Amino acid sequence: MGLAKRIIPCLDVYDGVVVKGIRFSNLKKIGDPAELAVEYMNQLADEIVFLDISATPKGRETMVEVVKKTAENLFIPLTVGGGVRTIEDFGKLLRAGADKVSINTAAVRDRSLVRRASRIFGSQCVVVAVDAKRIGGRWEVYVNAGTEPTGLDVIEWIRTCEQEGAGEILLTSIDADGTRSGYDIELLQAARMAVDIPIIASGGAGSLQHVYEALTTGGADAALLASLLHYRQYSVIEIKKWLAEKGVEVRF
Amino acid sequence: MGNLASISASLRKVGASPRIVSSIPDGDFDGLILPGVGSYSGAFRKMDEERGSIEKLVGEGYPILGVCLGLQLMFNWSEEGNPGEEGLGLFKGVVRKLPAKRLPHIGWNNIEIVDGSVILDGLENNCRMYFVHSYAPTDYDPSEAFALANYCNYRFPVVFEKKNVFGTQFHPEKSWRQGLIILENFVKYCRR
Repeated sequence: MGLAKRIIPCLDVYDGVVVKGIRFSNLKKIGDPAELAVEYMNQLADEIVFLDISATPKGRETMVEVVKKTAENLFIPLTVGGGVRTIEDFGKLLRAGADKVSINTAAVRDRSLVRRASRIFGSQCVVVAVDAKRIGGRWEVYVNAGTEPTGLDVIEWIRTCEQEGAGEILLTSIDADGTRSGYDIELLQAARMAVDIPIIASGGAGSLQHVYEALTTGGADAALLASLLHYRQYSVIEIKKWLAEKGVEVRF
Repeated sequence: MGNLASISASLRKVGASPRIVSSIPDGDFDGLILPGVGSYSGAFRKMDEERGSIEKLVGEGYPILGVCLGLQLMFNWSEEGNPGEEGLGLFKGVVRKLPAKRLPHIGWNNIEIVDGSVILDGLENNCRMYFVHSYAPTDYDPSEAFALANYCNYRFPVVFEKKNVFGTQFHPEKSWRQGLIILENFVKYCRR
């Protein structure tokens, strides 16, 4: 035995409510973030991620309140991301009870943010979210909810983030996201070769086999799941039981 | 140091009334928790200001629990710190970087429990706890260690106890039911 592979439900939060939708359109309210987080904890989720997709000043303020309420009853790690720009944003969310904060666009725009945040708050709470788009045999970093190319090479970028003190990489394939046709395994493998910090695979899971491939062939430490869980196709426990039968070390 | 909101919430969950203090008050409490995530030197400076008070409390038999970095401060020294930044020396040992290729050690690791622990009472052997760290005690006294973890084929101690002093390398406040059992045991010990 040793370290278990992690299953991490991701909840999209819009103005304090968990929503689901396809690529930010047709949003449908599905519940209260604090309640859903606890429900997933009880299903043996290993961590919870909240992503503030309102990404407005008002949304960010609401998120701090949501985190406060959630942290009172959530006894597994909570990561919060979406619209985080500054050290002050980090501090607010961590004081509210988040254990980790994920940054995406801000890490690219402000190249000293990862280093400063990890020095002040510790590497363990700095998660860099990277949206990767396949360009030929390479991947390019996109920001602004995956709409804006940066010219940065994903593999070089995550190496830089690790050197600057990032604690984990949340790696999303823009091409696979929402397709439910499987993770970009080559992307995960290339990232695995490049850095030693944990990689959380995101984007493309449509079946249990996909999750299994990300955690084994892809070498990811954790899988971030959204639609596979929110549509009640599977519970976290069912996913873990299936993975355990295939020989993946998971926590029960 | 550390995520005080999480540890306070989990203590409330097990029926305690935690207070967050920046220096150790006089009396009127049953136990003390030294939480801690972040860098050793930052936490060391804070601890060093309170060294006298902590030593006094330990001597008087107050229950003290160190969590993660809070535990690491209880040893003789850590190589994460600067020379001369001596730990509390409540447990024997020196804290060193884990000899693993992939660090930090993040996630849910099983723990091999040694019989006779107060704070691990009621837990099943090999239950999983949430870890986030790159350093761990070495040259420790096995009679003070009550659980071990194995990561990248390296076994290291993760729970320490000596009379009224306790410590966990993992985060009980983030380890769901298993972690809450540990905090409940500590609170019970505080009220004994």
